[in-house]
Amino acid sequence: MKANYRTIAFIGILLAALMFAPALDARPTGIANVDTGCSCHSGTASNDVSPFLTLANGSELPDTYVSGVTYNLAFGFTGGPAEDVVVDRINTGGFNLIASKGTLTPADEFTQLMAGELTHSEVGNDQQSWTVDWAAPASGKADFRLMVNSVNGDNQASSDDQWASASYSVASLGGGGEELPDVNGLTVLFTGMVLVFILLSIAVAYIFYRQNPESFSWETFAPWIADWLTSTDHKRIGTLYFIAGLSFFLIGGIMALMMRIQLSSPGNDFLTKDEYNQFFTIHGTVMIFLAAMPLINAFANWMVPLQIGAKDLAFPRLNAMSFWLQPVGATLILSGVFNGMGADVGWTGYQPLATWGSTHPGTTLWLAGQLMLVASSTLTGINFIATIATMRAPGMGWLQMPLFTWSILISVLMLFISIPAFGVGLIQAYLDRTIATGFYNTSAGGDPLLWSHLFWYFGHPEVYVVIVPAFGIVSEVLATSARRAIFGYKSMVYAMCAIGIVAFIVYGHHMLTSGMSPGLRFFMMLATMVVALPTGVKIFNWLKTMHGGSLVYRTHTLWSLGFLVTFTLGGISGMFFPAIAMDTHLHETYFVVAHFHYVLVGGTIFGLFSGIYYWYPKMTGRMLNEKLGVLHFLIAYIGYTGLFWPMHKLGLWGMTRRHHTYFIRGDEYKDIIGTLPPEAADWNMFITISAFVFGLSTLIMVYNMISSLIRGQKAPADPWGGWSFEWLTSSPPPTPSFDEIPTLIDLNEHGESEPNWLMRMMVPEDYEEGSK
Amino acid sequence: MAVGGAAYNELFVIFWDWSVVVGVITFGWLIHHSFVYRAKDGENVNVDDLQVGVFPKHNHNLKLEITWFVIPAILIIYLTWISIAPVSEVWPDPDKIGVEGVDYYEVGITGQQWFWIFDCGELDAELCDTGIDSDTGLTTLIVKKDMIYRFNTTSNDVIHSPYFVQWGAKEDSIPGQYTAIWVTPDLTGKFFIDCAEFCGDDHAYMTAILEVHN
Repeated sequence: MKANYRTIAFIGILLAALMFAPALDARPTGIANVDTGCSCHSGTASNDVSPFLTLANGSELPDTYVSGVTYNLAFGFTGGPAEDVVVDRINTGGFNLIASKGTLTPADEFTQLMAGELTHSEVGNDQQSWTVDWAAPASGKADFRLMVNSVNGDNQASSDDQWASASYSVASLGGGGEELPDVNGLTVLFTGMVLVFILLSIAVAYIFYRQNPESFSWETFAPWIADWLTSTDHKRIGTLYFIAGLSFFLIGGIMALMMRIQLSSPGNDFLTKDEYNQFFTIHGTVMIFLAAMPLINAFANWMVPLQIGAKDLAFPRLNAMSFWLQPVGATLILSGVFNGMGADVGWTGYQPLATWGSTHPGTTLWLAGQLMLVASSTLTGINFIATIATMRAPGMGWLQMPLFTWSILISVLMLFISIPAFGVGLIQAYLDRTIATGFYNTSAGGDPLLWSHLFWYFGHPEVYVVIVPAFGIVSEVLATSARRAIFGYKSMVYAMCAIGIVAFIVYGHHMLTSGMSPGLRFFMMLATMVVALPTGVKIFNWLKTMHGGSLVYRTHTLWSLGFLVTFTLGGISGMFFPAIAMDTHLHETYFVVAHFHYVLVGGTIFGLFSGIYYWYPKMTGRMLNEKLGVLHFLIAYIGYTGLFWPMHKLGLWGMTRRHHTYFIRGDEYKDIIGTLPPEAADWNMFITISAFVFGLSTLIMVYNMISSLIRGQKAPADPWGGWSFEWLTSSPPPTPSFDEIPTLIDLNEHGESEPNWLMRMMVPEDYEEGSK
Repeated sequence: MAVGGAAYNELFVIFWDWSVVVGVITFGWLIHHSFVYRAKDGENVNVDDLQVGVFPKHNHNLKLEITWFVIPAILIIYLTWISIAPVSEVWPDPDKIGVEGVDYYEVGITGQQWFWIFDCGELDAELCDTGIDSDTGLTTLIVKKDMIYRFNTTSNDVIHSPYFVQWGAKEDSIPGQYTAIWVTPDLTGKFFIDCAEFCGDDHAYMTAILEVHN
């Protein structure tokens, strides 16, 4: 009991610390309160100071404006310490004015524009009121936010100084054209997410209803749903991973579409820059950690035990925990978005930006959420390594495992070894943000590059973690579809191992422009070039597998062949980056964006789509509709190519990523070389349209999956003619997955061989053959 | 190729040509096999006699596998080889330039949320000057054509990265450290500089102009 009290007290203190910690903000000068009026004068807003904003002729601010007209505004304040200074009010006033719409132009030398906001100039410091020209926008309500400082003029921040703020708004008269409805990106996103959730709930309820339409009631529904939520069966958890992964894939997709609307024309204001920054951050995190990884885990959960002939994973309860950490982490990662304060630092979270005071508080939650996923991935790693190492069916040695199982083994090993570095970085960043430690605070001696190294030491293996399982899926699908044994089974395994090892020594190519030493740059260039070799072997082996085969065209075959094309293209464009002289140009441009979408969407996602069409009959016992599948493939493939191929060109033109807008050579930029050529705007529009085609095509698959579940043909145990164990058990498999553990028969002759040094080290001396 | 010149142009052409070669071979092969080795209507030949629960006979050919390891390896070695030389042009050794009698000029670039601060140091106005561009209102760095410039960059807050689009040159500006970008402006006119490393709200507006005169 005593220990319990201590634990409770400890957790209580931690909770209290957490409650107070986010209210503090680490700054180079110490800890300051967040809600300050201006960076130079702190304290809370004062009632003595009253700001005002009127027309310059003294009359009240009108309720409506006429578009295109320029208004001369006067603003300032009365009261506060500035009033007490009688002579020469030097350095007694300051302000900051933000207009949500229209353009503010300084009318005299007392005001200036800084980062899109109007503020006083140095001479303007001596005033208590100022004037500015405001050109009214075309439409929409314009909001003004005015912050004023009334200070005592001693030229330093002191507690006597006071400030106040006020908001004003002016509606459109509609004089200059039609009033356009104002779409708030966050509202659209929120609606999208709620919609996804509602659709999901309806689908779940409907599936239950279909199972037994007569006796549908809460009494029967509650235990059924509870059974799903508390299951430790690898198949059910796999399905949960599936549902989670696909929903987050849709959410990440909605974000991508909104970013594409924003970029469809230069200078667009569909999203504010603030929203745009949150969206690309969350899009990256959601797509990698909450869509690609759970979808891979879904297949791993489903297929690894089936393929190695095991009844379940080694640690079923641990497996359930791995899954349930994900929704918690996802909630944390996304929670900031709902109040417009989501993480806005990019999925790479480069320091010191990610610990900078001006970033959104949601960044802290985003870091915490990713820590949950680190824990989840570590547990998954333990589970799969243990399962594959110890639970293979009799007769199945290491080099008789199906290639998908091999790919999962390599991928979890990579993840297991690399993710602690990421965890360490996250904890440091989290502490920096909450209790003002100085790991990444340069003024306190921190090193921002430490994060880059920790992140990419994890981040580069991570991208191989998501691509290698796709290799496994494609190996299975192509061999089965061509009715052949995979060409060069052993070289496939060795190639994957080689990729897994090289993954750890190439990460520096993400940092070639970060001031690395030339020697290290050269090494990273060499190592990165080497990645092409095992990958090339894999691609040529797949092609050779088709040789002499009898290729049966099914939807999964099409996706795998599509994968070969897009992944090869992505691999080729990847070869441009290690050449450093080119990397200085291509780094952080749309060429990179095109490259990693070619390997992550054209590689991982196409591989996963192939896996969905391949294993869906095994998972549900129902065949998918082939016609809809082919339709999905064709539309998606065309949309995909239109979406990502032109990005290569944009990158070569110098379009930089993570910009919420871009500059076209024209108007005042007509003489400036290096801004984008005018046709770049057309290409961006084309990309946006293609993005919608690609995005909507995914719904065909979702519809296909749901409708086939209800109306689909019944699937036999081995619909495609594969050889591995998952086709042995019935579709869907029973629980536990095999009635009887099968034994693998190997048609190859194996010569007797002396155990080598590695075997002697790994196998205990008292081990007897066949004692398993 | 000059120091700080657009080294990527020449490399890009070579890499592009080889990409086309690799692409034609791979996709030619893929398309050929996809059509030639497809199953005839209604037939379903089990070529390698795959059976459930039976690990199939190995389908392999060591010579072929070694071939398509070695041939790409030769290509990779060649591509690496031609990529090494330009490195010393992107980041030349400052001492060597001095020895060869060619002078270079150092200009400071400091990134701050969200603008660039140019520092000409002691240089003459002809070699380096700063100003405001009259058309766009952007900060402008004015330099002389065909002179070698070494831009020493650092940051006052978060990581930025000045990107000289025309010369394909960029390097992160990191707080507390100095990094170098070498540029030899070989054209006259106004050139765009933007920020390539995400640095917060006004990242896209963190632009400036490099004006090159004779």
